[in-house]
Amino acid sequence: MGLGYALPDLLSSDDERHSHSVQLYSEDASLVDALGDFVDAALDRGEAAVVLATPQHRRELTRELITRGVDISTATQQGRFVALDAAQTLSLVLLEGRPDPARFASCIGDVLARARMATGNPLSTVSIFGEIVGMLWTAGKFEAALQLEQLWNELSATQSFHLRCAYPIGAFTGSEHEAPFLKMCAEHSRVLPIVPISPEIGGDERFGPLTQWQQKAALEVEITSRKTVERALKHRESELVDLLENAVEGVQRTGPDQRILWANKALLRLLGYPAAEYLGRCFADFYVDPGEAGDFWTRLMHREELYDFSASLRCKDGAVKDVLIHSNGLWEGDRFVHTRTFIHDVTERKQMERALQQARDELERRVAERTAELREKNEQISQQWEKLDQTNAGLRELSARLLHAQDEERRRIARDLHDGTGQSLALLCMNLSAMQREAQGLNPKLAQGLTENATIVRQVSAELRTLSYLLHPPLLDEMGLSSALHWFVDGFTERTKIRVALELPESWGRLSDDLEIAVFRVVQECLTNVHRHSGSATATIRLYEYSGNAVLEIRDQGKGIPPEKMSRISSVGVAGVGLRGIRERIKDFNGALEVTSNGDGTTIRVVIPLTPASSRLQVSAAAAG
Amino acid sequence: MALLFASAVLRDNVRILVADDQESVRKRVCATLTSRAGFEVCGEAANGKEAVEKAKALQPDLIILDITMPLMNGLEAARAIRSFSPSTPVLILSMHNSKQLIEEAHRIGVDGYVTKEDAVQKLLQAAEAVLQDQTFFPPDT
Repeated sequence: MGLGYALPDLLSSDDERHSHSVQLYSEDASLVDALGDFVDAALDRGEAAVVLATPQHRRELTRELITRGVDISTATQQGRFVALDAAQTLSLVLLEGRPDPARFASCIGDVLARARMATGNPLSTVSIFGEIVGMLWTAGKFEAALQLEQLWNELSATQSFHLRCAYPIGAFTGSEHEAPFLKMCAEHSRVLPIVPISPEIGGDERFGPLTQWQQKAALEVEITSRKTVERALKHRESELVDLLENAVEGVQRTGPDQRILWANKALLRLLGYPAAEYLGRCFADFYVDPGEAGDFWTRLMHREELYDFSASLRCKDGAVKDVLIHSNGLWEGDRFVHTRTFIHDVTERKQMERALQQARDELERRVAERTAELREKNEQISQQWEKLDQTNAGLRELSARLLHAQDEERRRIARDLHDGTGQSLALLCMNLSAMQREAQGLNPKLAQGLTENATIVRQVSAELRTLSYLLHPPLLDEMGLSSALHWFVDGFTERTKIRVALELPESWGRLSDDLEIAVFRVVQECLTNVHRHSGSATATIRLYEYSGNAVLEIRDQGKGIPPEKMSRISSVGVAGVGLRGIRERIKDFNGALEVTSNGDGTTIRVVIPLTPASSRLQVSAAAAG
Repeated sequence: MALLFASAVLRDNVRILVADDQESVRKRVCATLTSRAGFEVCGEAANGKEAVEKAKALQPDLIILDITMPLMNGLEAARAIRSFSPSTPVLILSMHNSKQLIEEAHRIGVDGYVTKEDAVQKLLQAAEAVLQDQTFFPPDT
């Protein structure tokens, strides 16, 4: 931001905008010649010209202007050139023989306003040639003439115009005219030399004492004028000083010795110094950074114009103000006079900028923190995920191992029960029977008791067998999957009254123990589900080989799996312990589980690749050994 | 299958091979068999493999096999024996009483099936039946 000082044109001369001169003339021709210059110049500047003259002078002027090449008809058409009859105009201004201020203002004011408007610039200056005052004077009406001059002067307070009054020198003949003449001249801002002034014609002597009067009047007018100008200058200077003094911005001047010559109130207020403690001191004393002050001065001495020079100034109370400085030097030739320095306080703005920057930094810091936190969280989550994966994998492995261990344990317990306890019971039963036989002849009572005991042992044995069979299918080891499935299905039908069709291949060899038990358990689990959930009265089990896979299908004709449970099976892959158990069981064999269900029933399909090494043992080979 | 009553007409010196992995059971079976005049236990085996070997070596008149035995089970042993000795009567004496097992034994060509619980009452009957070219299976099979 710059220091936008638009100083008004305080020192421009009023002469350019207003003048009231008096022209004395001896011959009409020389008057018309001077008048031609006056009007020609006005029209040439694009301004308006108003002529209040005698018919003869108007005719001669028109001729003169045409001779000069001025386009009078266009200017007249435009309204920029107005020529009025002096006598007629005077009659409109006078009231009972004296100039009437109201009539004058109305009549002359109207003429001037219209001429000015015709130029297109309502503030333009109008040049007026007037003989109406001269006419009054010639008629000996000195007082009225002076009054009229005064009315013109009053009009100049509100309107801008150059007025030239013409007086014939014939009106000033005797010594009695001297005083009124000087009075008349004093009403003007300029007394022009008498025309013609050519020395060949006879010089000043020709006009007798009037020449001295004119020169005296001119001198007095000049003196008065200069005094007026001087007063105006002083007034304007004080206005200017006042303006600078009361400017919102700080202003100061620094001399060639770097001492502060002058500072305005705003600057003193900004820095908190009374003038006495500030003026006369080195300007650099107030800079926080001496380097800045040095740079400032060096550049000024190189006649550089500094604009938005950024500096920090120290106040009397120690506070620091951030400022932008606009400064240049006033030079007279090679001599540096003083600086012209304008100081703009931007402390508040800088503070706001700093606060904004801090807020931005804080925001960035928090964003960075949050980002780091999120990254850390992500890291943690991914680690936890990994751990969970590992745990899951571990759990799956554990689960598979548990299933395997469970199968093994059941098999072991079943064997222990069957081969150990079962055999002992069988032996006990045989012994009791043998004893009963021997005792039959000797002691019928004992024989009866032994028979009863043998019956009890037989019952215990049957219970034990059932328990053992449930723990591990009895025929799986001895006869293989097919027999075991037949045994299980028969028992299932007997218990549940669900008819099960078992479709097994004719020549199905032995599978590995693990796979046979897995298939058996899958059938067991599926039939349990059919019984518990399907409501079906029938079921079909098919086991067949299809392109290197063992395919096991368990189908029921029940009500199907509910849709919500079905969608969980589709999305998550499992639902309920039963299906999960099946999936776990077949996982080790790279098997796949497929569940299809609708209102007509459910089909569970398990597909297990058959690999010669691990999955299939030929029963004949084993039997031959 | 109907239980056929065994006749008393049997040749003397019936040589029997008994296979069971449990010695105490084996002894009890042997005692039961030898309680019958003319029955002689010519060999004992503790597993299926041994039973097959002894059947080949001893050429017994009757072979009694347990099913659940180490190395080779009784059914496998019976199948093996059938391959080299199609006419020697073979009896299964087992803890198991499942229909499938009995059917399987029947399919292999075993001549009779007795559960151990009924051994004392039915083993001799069964032995006599199979020795007379009859079969002996539990009534509901």
